[in-house]
Amino acid sequence: MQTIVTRVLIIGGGATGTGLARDLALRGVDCVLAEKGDVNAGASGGNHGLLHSGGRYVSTDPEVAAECRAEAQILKQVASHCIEETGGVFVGVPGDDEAYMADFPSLCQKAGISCWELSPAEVRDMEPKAVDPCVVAYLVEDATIDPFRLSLENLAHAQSLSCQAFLGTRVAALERDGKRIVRAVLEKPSTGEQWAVEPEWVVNAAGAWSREVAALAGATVDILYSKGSLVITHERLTHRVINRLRPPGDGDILVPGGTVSLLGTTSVRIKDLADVRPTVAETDRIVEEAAQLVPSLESVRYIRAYAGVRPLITGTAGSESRGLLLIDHAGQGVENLTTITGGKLTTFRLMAEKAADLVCSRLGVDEPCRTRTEPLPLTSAGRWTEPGLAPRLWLRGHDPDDTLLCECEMVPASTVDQIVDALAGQGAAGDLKAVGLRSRVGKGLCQGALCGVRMLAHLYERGTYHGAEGLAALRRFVRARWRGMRPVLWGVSLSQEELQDALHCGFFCLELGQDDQPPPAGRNRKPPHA
Amino acid sequence: MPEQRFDLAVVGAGLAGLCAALFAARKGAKVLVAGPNSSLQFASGFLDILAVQPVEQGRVWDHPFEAMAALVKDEPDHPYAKVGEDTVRRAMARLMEFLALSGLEYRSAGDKNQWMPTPAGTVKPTWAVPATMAAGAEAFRDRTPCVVAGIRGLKGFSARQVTENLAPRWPGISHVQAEFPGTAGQSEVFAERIARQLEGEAWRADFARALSPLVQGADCVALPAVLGMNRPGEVAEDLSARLAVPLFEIPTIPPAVPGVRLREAFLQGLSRMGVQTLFKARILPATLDPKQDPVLVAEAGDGPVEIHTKAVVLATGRFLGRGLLAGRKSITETVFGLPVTQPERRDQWHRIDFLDRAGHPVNRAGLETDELLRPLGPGGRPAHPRLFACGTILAHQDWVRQKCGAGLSASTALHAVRSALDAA
Repeated sequence: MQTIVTRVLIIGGGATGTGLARDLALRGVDCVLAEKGDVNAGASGGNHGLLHSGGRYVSTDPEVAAECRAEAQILKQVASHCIEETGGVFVGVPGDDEAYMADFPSLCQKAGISCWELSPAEVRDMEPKAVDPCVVAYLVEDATIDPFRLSLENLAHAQSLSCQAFLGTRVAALERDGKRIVRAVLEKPSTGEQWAVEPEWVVNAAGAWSREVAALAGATVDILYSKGSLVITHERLTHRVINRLRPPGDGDILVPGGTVSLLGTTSVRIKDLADVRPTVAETDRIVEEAAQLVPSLESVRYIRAYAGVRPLITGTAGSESRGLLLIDHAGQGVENLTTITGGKLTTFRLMAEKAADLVCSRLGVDEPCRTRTEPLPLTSAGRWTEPGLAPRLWLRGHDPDDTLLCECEMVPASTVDQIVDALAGQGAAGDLKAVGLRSRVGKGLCQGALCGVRMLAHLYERGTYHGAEGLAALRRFVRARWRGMRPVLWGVSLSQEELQDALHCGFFCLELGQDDQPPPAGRNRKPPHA
Repeated sequence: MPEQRFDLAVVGAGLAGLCAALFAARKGAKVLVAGPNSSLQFASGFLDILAVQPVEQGRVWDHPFEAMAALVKDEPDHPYAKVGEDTVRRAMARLMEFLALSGLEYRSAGDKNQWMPTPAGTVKPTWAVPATMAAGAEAFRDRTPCVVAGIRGLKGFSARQVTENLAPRWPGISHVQAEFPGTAGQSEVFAERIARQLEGEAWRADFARALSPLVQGADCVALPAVLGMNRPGEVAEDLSARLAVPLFEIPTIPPAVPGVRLREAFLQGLSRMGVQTLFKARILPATLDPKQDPVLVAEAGDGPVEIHTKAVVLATGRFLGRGLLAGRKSITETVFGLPVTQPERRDQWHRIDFLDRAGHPVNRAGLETDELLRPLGPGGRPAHPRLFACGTILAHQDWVRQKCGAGLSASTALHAVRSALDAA
């Protein structure tokens, strides 16, 4: 078995894991990152991309609120290209608790969060789609952040320094010698290939999966799983983040995301991490609740829903918290394992900093954290996730040899090629899902029905696929899109789905096929030697 | 408001509506067909009767009429149980005869389904195919060594994809990439444009010169469906003669040439038969008085027209055709507000897996009818004595999974028209 010797093994490629990889790399610490799925496959990709002003938590958790405020300010400085400074409005909906509304400004003040009262006329002018009249409204400094771009660029930067990343790679075993983990066995489930990593330290940043990862080393982590679902509209409805001015609850927020709006969220305790998907009932609940905030949500077109699982820390009294948790497992008999969990997307950098501080002190590395001030470099890895970017560039001018594969979101063949080539380096060249994650392909009107088929033909012609691999990839792609489409299939979305059913099943007979197997071994790149 | 009078008004101009207009006109009725006719462009060009039953098992039948016998036993509510085998045969024969007269010849293989290559690289069982595709079924059946020729810049069609996927079952298949004359330096070429160009002899000569060296020695050649628009038979024959090799077309992903050919063949044929068409008009929602002849209002670009007719055939299709409208809570019928048989709740509409063989329950939602195909009103009786329904708006069928779209549309159209003309 090949072996890679490294200082730190990071398990998990979400916002925290990729952020930690960059933090360590900036301190000159050599690391390996292993992610069993793709970048942001868990909660980091299953959220609304809100960069919290902190206003949401002033009543329930002022400490978290203040942390959000401070981190948001840092990120606006160092990662501005991933952020849209939309601003946010807290709107008091008639019928909600007016005492809570009245307390809001003083609670904000206590947590050091800026908020300005708006007159009804100002609200109408700034956000014409918000409920009118509202009881009261406050302007706050909410912003939005593209979580995919953020993590892709954190990882790309780390890789350019001193990090090796393996996506689609699970940790099969953490082997101990006494109180220390001495070896991790990594495995690519798609091919069965295995190799070893010998780290000095292991950081468990597996989010909702951190309990399973800790167990591999014989350690424990106590977290609760909270599923949150969100729904995406076809068009952007508001300029700013619209929050419902009441204690946190289901369907209390509408977040703009480039050319769309995201509505959320729900919070449902679940026991099992297998098969987490948004449901029809959750979608209905979100739409009905959010429509009290923005009434036109009852009649607009929806594109899809999605769900993520928040790892919540169990507090002393068993209550849940959105704070972050750094667990040193020495007390459980494992000296070189740290778990970092809980927290929020907004505070990912701080989580990474705390984890890196701890690891560095144990490793005797005397380098300070640099992510507070060092700007996140702009790379090509994450740029295609930005809604509206591809059409802008396409309309501005393009290579005459280029052609649009995704006509809804105007993604050209050259972009797909660029992403596929980059993925090839990670052993996932023909993964249409991975292309979708790194671009807007499959996120438009047709939801992959037509662009999926066009990409497939293009990648066959390019020689990316052999035999039945492409059709298997198409099946995986449409099945993945389906998870999000199924809960929002009414109105025009259902018409589109009918077309997809007729094309993929009626014409291609994909439902009758038997060849939905993973690609044969040997096509993927071998892991590099240490 | 101007008024017009007809024996039969067909609402909806997809395959079912156009068939209904055709069948009624053949019987000498004065016919109107109204509604957008864009859905045919999404057709693959294949005419299915029935291939899969029961869908849960994915059992594929070689003989559609044997499948139909099994189907009507398993599913007595299926529209095929109301129309019967004889009507299906008659409707398909009349449809194919009509299309041939409009320059679009179809071929079936006796009573058997044919396995047709698709652009995905799968094969699909179907009943009749355009004559320009027929050699494909034979070539697949006999595993004739075959060269699939792609056309550079034609999006969504990869000759390599077709061969890579078919090769395990069809060892003698290979692929080449041709360039259509005059498209050097173009990043994208369009099937419909090429199809229209190939109606001209000069283009065919040029294309043959480009293809000839690539397909040298092949026993047969497959091309994406671009061989002519209005006279595809002649175009294919001429190109085949020039290359001295049998040719066949593989359809491309819709909207595509085979669907446009069907639409154009219908337009020409129906106008020849004196059918009045209002393809740009929308039939406004209406309430019919069962004691009177139906009256409809067609909203066209130049103002509303009142349609007085002895009978109505409703062929507005499903969600894409806008015959059915899905709200967040329930499904409604858009013209007459007829009751729609449907799953109780939205979370029962679709299965967890998109590719579930059993199909999605919402696809079997639709109108209940009596034996004459009169849709039932809220009381369970026909909503109007001379209102009929045909095509995919009918409940208790899954044309996509069962592979029965054309047969369902044509046969229910024939049955509805017979009932309508008898009643009128």
